[in-house]
Amino acid sequence: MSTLVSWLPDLLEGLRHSLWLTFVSLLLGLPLGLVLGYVAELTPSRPVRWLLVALIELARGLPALVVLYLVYYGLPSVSIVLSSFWSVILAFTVSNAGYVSEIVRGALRGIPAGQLEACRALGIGRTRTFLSVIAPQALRISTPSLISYAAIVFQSTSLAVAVAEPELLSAAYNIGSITFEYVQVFVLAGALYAVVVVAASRLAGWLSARTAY
Amino acid sequence: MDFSLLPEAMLLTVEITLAAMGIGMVLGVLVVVARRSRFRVLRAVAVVWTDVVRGVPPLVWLMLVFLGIGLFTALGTAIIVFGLVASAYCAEIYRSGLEAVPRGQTEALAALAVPARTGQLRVVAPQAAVIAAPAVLSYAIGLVKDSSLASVIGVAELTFVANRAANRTGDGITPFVTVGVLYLLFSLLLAVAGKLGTQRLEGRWRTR
Repeated sequence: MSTLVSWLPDLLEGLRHSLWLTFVSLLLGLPLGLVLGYVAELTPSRPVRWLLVALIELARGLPALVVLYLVYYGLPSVSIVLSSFWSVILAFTVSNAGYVSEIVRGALRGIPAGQLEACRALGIGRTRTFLSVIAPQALRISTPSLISYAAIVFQSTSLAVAVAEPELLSAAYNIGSITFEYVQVFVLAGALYAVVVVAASRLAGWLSARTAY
Repeated sequence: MDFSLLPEAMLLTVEITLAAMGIGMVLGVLVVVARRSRFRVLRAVAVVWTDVVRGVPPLVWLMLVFLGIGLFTALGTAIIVFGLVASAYCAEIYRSGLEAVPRGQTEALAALAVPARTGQLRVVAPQAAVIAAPAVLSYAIGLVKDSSLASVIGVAELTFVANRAANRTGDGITPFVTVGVLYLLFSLLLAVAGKLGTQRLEGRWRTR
């Protein structure tokens, strides 16, 4: 038991880093996904829409680990060397922008087209329409899915172990490879992941029950 | 990179995906039956199972079972872990399918004195299956991508082979782009096959 407690500082430091990775990749991925989803759903130009949908589907269809390796091992071949931290962020942003934009597209479809037409009839500019009319409602509709999605991103930060980024799973693995008490340390790390994920999904469920029309 | 390794690697990716999906779809039925059981203990077990299995990242499960328990080969570990994870997700998909069948039907069956088990099995479950099929299919397509995690514990599937090739040749682009295309092809194939299967299922229950 006392050994478990002695591992906690390292594991919590790893957890902190996992949360930080989640935060940064959401910070970059959400606006990108928002813009992608918004343009893909509302652009009048068909080729643009098809191109965006194709890109979104491509990014979603590739395993995140393959994208991560491509960034980490592939970009140096073209003289772009990123640290493992930024490789993880870039890979997650690419493979997640598609998910966010799907959520956003779904939310936008939930807003009646009449509102857009009304804004145009009232002479409200495009930017203003988006910021004051569309975005607040879309955000309200999509918040529960975005929280569940944040939980998925948090789980997927565990992939960073593959490029030796010091997050929670790496911390657990390091402890395990010294002590060989893999079961205990992975159970403890798993519990830390599960606490965060289950809390987030309960929050999402509660919010979606509350905001349902 | 050495392309001759790809067929075998592809086969492993397919094997992990399909075997795990098979386990998950069957075990998921047991989990959802427990979840809807009359007995509180069974229901609690099912809830804890789905929460714990889905709350812990699959990569942690893989390492826990492979390094911690150490009873199975890497391939066996991958199939078991992804199968168990799939059982939790499938159970949730089945549950929402069952809940989407109007309650009135269950009441009508009771009013007609049809035994509960017969009614659930022959009237409610088939409709729930049709409703749940598309979600099961998209889970399976997600599993194609998740199977890449098996490379971390040393299963020589697509991502593992690409990773090794990248480390040996110093070319970090060709291997990953190649396997990326293969993943997309497999997903696409699965999507088309699944769509046909779903339509057949739908057609069969509609006409009866």
